Amino acid sequence: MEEYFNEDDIKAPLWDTGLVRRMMPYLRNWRLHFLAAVVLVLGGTAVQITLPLLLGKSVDLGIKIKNHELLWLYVMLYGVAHLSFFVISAARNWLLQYTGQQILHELRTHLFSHIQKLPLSFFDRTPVGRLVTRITNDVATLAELFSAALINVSGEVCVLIGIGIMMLALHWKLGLAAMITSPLLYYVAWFLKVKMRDAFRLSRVKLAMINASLAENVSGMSVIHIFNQEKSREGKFDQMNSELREAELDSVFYNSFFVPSVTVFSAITMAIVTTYGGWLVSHGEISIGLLITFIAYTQAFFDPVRQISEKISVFQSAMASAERVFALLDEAPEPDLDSGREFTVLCDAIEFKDLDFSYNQDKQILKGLSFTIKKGERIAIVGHTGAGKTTLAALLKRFYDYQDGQILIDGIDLREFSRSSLRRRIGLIQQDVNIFSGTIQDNIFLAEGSFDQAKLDSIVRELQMETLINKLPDGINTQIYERGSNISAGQRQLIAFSRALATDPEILILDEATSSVDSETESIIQRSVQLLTSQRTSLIIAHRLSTIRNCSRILVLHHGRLVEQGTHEELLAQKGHYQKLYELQFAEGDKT
Amino acid sequence: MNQQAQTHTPQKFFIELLKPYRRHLFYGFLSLVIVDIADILPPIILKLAIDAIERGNEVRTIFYCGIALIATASVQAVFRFFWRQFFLGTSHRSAYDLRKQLFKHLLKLPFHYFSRTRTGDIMSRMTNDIQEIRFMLGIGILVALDASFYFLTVPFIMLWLSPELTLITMLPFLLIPVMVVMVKNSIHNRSRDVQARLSDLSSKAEENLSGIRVVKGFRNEESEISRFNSCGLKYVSDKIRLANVESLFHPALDMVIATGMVVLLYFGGNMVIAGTITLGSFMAFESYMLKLSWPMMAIGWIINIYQRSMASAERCLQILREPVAQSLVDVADPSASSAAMAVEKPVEPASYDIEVSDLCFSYPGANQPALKNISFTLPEGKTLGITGPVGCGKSTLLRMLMKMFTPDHGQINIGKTDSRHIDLLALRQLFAYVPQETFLFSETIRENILFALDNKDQSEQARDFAALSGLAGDLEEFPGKLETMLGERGVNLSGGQKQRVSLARALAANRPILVLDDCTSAVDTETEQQILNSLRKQSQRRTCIIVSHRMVSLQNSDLIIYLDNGEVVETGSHEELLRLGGRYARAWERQRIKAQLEESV
Repeated sequence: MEEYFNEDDIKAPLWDTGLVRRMMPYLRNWRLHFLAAVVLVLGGTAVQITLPLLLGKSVDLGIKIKNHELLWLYVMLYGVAHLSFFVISAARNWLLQYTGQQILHELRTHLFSHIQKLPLSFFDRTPVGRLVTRITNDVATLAELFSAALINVSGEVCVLIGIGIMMLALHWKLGLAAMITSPLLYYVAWFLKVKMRDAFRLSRVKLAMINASLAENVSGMSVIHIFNQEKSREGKFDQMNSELREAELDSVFYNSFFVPSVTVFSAITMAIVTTYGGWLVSHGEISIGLLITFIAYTQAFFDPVRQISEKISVFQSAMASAERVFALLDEAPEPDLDSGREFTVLCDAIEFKDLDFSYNQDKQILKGLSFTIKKGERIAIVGHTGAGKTTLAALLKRFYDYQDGQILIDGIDLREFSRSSLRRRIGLIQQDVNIFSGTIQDNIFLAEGSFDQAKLDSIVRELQMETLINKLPDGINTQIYERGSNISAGQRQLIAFSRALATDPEILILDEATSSVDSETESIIQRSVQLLTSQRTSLIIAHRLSTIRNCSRILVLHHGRLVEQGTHEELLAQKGHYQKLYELQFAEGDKT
Repeated sequence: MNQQAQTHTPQKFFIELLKPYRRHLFYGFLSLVIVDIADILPPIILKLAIDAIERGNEVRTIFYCGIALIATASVQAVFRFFWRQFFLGTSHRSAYDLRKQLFKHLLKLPFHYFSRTRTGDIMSRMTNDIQEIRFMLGIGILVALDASFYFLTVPFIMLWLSPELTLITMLPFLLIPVMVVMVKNSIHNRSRDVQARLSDLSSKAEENLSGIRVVKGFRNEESEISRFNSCGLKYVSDKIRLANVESLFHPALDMVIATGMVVLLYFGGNMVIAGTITLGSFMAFESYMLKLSWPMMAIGWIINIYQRSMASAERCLQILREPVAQSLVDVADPSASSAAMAVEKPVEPASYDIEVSDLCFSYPGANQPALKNISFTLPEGKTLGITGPVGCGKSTLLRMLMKMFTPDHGQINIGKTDSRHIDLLALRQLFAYVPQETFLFSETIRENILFALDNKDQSEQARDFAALSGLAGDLEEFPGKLETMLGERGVNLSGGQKQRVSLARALAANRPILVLDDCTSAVDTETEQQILNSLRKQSQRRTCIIVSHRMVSLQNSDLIIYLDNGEVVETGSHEELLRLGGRYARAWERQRIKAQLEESV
């Protein structure tokens, strides 16, 4: 829905020096290419200006004095000029496309890498779709600025100035006469362009509104039907629809003025050139060939007007895109991931001391949480949705930093360790298994080049994955479709477990799936959890009774506080919070 | 229209769309002829001027030529304005008509059409496809007529000026349409590749961003960047492959025209020297060649626009061909039996007693029935509570009652009349429905509450219903009170507020049967109790059907049904069901514990 309401590009300025300056670093690597492009643009301009001159000369020196040889010579020159113009413009076009694409590739990669470094809190508040639009569409719109607009417009401007200078140099009086209307023409063109742009904006706003209303009505169709509001909806829609039509007709109106006014101006100029020029010829001041040159210049003088005005909108949307892209690049990344102590092994214990945490000011997630996990212990955390269980995992991996209190690893504050080492050495298996496109093997060994056949064999053996892998057409090398649609829930879970085994984490956090699964998957999960956690310090956010029973200790979290802890039996005997939770979450599942 | 649409080909469809504007099109065509005549005259005038200049001492002729140039240009300018107004204006008017017609048709389509068609698909037909058709009807027709005019006139003028020179210079020009068609093909293929790479790129980005927690969790950013980079490089290389063709294409077209010019300069020049043609004719030739190059290039473009608009017209026609919901028989089951029933006269129900007997239903294509042998009786003015696990068929049962679907077997009687015999519109008038998924329109709160009323200006009434739905306090906090504009789908309201607006909307509709489909899930229990209490007071004689996961919401119902897998598992009053000690009682107990847990902080 975002795109229908995305009207920012409508308000954008034509030119923003600050934004253009920020683009410069990306051009720096390609300055030679740009230099070449500028040379080609200038060369093309020079050839374009020469053509009418050659035409005039061939009339004067060939046709008028009936000199076949000179005519032949000028025809050849004329042909060569055209041929070189062909080569130059093809080369220019190609070079601009090529360079533009390379620059954008750099920008796109830079943008993507920047996004990778942003903290998780950024992703919490930014929809994925918007980021994808930035990376693809906005960067592509910027491409237009480089290739089409920037260089072509400057090329057109060069042609205009070139023709002006040539006309004045050849015969300043006739040149002045030819250009006398151009200030007025440019004024009219600019005036109409502004009007057209305003009308066009309005019709785009109306179109966006109509699309939004359409989407709304289609999705809410059953509500319309139930309340018998077909007629009133039709009326409302018709009103918007006719507003759109009127806006479009307005924009057609101003548009209809533009081309005719250019036609009139060019005709007036042509009339001035032929009558005054003809008078000059008959008085012997200029040759007929020069007059023909002037006529050809006049014909060429009016094209750039149209071209330049067409490019205005490209500039605008490119500026709007640039603004959005740079705003994204301005988002502060996570501090250096590698700075700080390297975390390798846990010697003694992880200690949580009076831990306070909130994602935003409104809601405190953890309140004065304190407990200790000894090395090699297997801990279960239970509690309601929103009790703060998943937050604990995110804090341990330093996805977020806590505000008050401390997490100590062997007595050292967690924040002294590098994010990098914590994320590598603390494994997290999440509820939703994110599958990436690629093979099963790629999905197990996520980091590039981390593949290790011996490790794979041992993983397959330990998790007893043989039968599951054999079911797949290409075994471990089976290509997984987008979002893993061709593998089962059990296979997904196995991939998640294998990923964790492949990195052999020192500490394991397991966020158990809440949803009920089929019995095959259930047995896979039980077996794997047992295996993964048996030799490791592990923290299990548990939703299954079987898991809990196997843990050495259970922590009961409630509204961000630790309310009870102990073994399953101890806690049940307390007849407190856990017992109720047990009846609610586990007992029912246990029976069925 | 619907009947007509079924037999329409896209071409006939276009004619139909343009028919109301045939007068405009006629004037447009006249303007076009005048513009084109005024456009092909200047080279002749230029020829006369140059010939006069060459002869010398004919200042008057030259001056007249100058005047003539300005005159033709002015005529051209005036009628160019009209042609755009007439042709492009018509295309926008037709687009309006088409959009209106499609929307009107959509409003009449049955429920099941929307359940099997994605909103995005309908949207794209109503936006992109209409745009394609508008292009064809406006600029497409204009350019086609314009180009035909040039083809039918300019070559003859050139032949009149000099037959030999025409034949020689036009030879290279014949290459243009061939080139356009050939190169367009290769450009098309290559841009398709580019599009595919672009979509790879964006799915890579999307995949990465949705899995960013895994990426960061495994400290895997670098290899993701290098994977993205390689997708990007593939895109760039395909883009450059496209650029190879594209950057050559326009210069090559220019080169073909230039070849014609060189040929003209050589042969024409020699003919001027030999005295076969005048210098003026030579210059006129140059202008005409330039004028012909444009329609040559336009051919390929017109073909392209035409083909795309045909496909788009077909897609719009598909919507128009969808059969509308018929008043008597729901189209979900257009079988012979229901067609027979359609003959009978529609009946108004005598009372609002609801009697469901032996109801069975399966969704089309589903292998499991959604409802199995459901029977119950709900007398007018009583309250029915329905509960059961997710997917047990609660919402389906409500849909059947409101005739969004037709039962496979069994029947629903309302006031002793088979609901199949009740007119669809009349039947819908009986129900005030609060759907499970709250859907509000991006209008003011007042307009949303008074949605079902013809007069949507009664603020007092809107306020009363808001109060009844427990919205009074919230309303005070909104910046514009009742006049607060809701964002799309009510995004600026909390889930609970949205549900209560939706409830107020149903109450304002003032229909004999109130249907609440789990509509207070986002409201806390206490508020919910208040709302239900005030509802009970206000609408004692109204029949109520309440679907809820919260047993407390149902405990005061006259009859409670516990559904599972589309079957009635338990039924009775709250007390009866508790005494029974079955599924309902267990669920009740669990919710009681949960409530206790939540209270103890």
